[in-house]
Amino acid sequence: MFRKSCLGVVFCGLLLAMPCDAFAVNESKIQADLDAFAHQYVRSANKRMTVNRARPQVIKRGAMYVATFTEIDQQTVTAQMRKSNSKHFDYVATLCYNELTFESLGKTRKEAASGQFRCVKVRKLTELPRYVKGKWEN
Amino acid sequence: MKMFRNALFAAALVMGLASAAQAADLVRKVDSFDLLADQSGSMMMQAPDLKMSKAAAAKQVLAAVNEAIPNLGYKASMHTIAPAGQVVAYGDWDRSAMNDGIASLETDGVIFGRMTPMGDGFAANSGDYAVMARPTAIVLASDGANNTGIDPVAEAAAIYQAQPGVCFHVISFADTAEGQAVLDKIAALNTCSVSVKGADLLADQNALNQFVADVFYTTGAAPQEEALVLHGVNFAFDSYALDAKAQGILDEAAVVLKEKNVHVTLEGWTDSIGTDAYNKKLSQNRANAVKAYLVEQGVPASKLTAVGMGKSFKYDNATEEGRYLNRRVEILFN
Repeated sequence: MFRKSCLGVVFCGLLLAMPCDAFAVNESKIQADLDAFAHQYVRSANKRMTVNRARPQVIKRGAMYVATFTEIDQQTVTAQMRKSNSKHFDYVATLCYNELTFESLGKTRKEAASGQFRCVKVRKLTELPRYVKGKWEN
Repeated sequence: MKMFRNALFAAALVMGLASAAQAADLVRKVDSFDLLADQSGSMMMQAPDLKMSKAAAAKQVLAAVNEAIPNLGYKASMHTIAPAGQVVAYGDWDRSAMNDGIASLETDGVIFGRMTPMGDGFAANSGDYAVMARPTAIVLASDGANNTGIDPVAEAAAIYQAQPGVCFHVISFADTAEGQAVLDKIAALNTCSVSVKGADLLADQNALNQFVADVFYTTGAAPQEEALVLHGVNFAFDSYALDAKAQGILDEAAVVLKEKNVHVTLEGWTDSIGTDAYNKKLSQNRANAVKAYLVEQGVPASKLTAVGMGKSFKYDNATEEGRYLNRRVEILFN
């Protein structure tokens, strides 16, 4: 019992002796991990889109054909973390990005698919990745 | 003379390019719309200021709106209330067919005893609205008066609950405070609504163009939608019980929702494994479970609509990663 108490006191002493910025350094590392995770996640999500720039979906609308595809604008990706309110994970992040839908009109399927695409819709999306057991997951 | 001709040509070219660029810059705000004309007895009464019946004024305004809508590939239909019915069937919008439909509207029918079951009209037409491409604009031209039957405000609210992506817009021909109050309440149900006076649209082409722009299209920048996407909201196998991690994720989502304090639609999506019917039911029950949990966390139930969307094909279902991305809850900020 006495030994356990002594170990507790020593442990608390060591914690107090640690410089404050040790925690900050740790958080910087977690933020850096988050940035890397966010870009990797978005790249991967873009790759898994069924309808994408390389394979647009073409449908007939009235007398015209319309080609569409959706992709995440990687330039818009931002990720900020904060301490979580939940007991299940230490940190939570807000991962924000714009998902853009493009459309092109044409008189034939081929013309639509190879035409000038323009952005017709912007979805401002937010996700909440979690930091669990030393790594980010979503 | 030649120089003058060249200058004229250059000016015409610039103007032509500018107008082409303007047309190319228009972006649809909605994928479909319905023109909904009130044909009740009170609409057949004269509007002294307009020197015609309110129904005739509504007919003129709807024709002018139809004329001003840019051709951006909409789908459309036309309905009436009092009596409820379909005038133009849902399909690719054809300006000329819609004009024919508008031309067929009554302007001087029977007045006596012809009340306005507006709520019943909404209910009768709501089945047709359910199949329309979203987002959908319902442009209601009415005086809001002499209501009977189902409460129209409650019925419009029910359509909002059951059919996310629908928006009522109001062109008012009200000449009573009660009628205007009903139309104001319908317009106040959702921030998406545009509410205008029919007389203003008749008198001012700029006001009419502005109404058409506000409801049907935007210029330049594409319309924006905001959503919170949640992955990892898992349930125990074949059940609607949220696991501990899912509860943690929803705790964080509840913080965001309480900060925003706006009406949201919870869309539950599944991957492609299983039958359509099974996934539709599963996604609805799970969306309901998410809603119930968020309500427990203090998000007002009145701000949440839960919809099971069924299978998602947004991401490649052939891979485990794609299926994981398809299994998600999207919280749309309306």
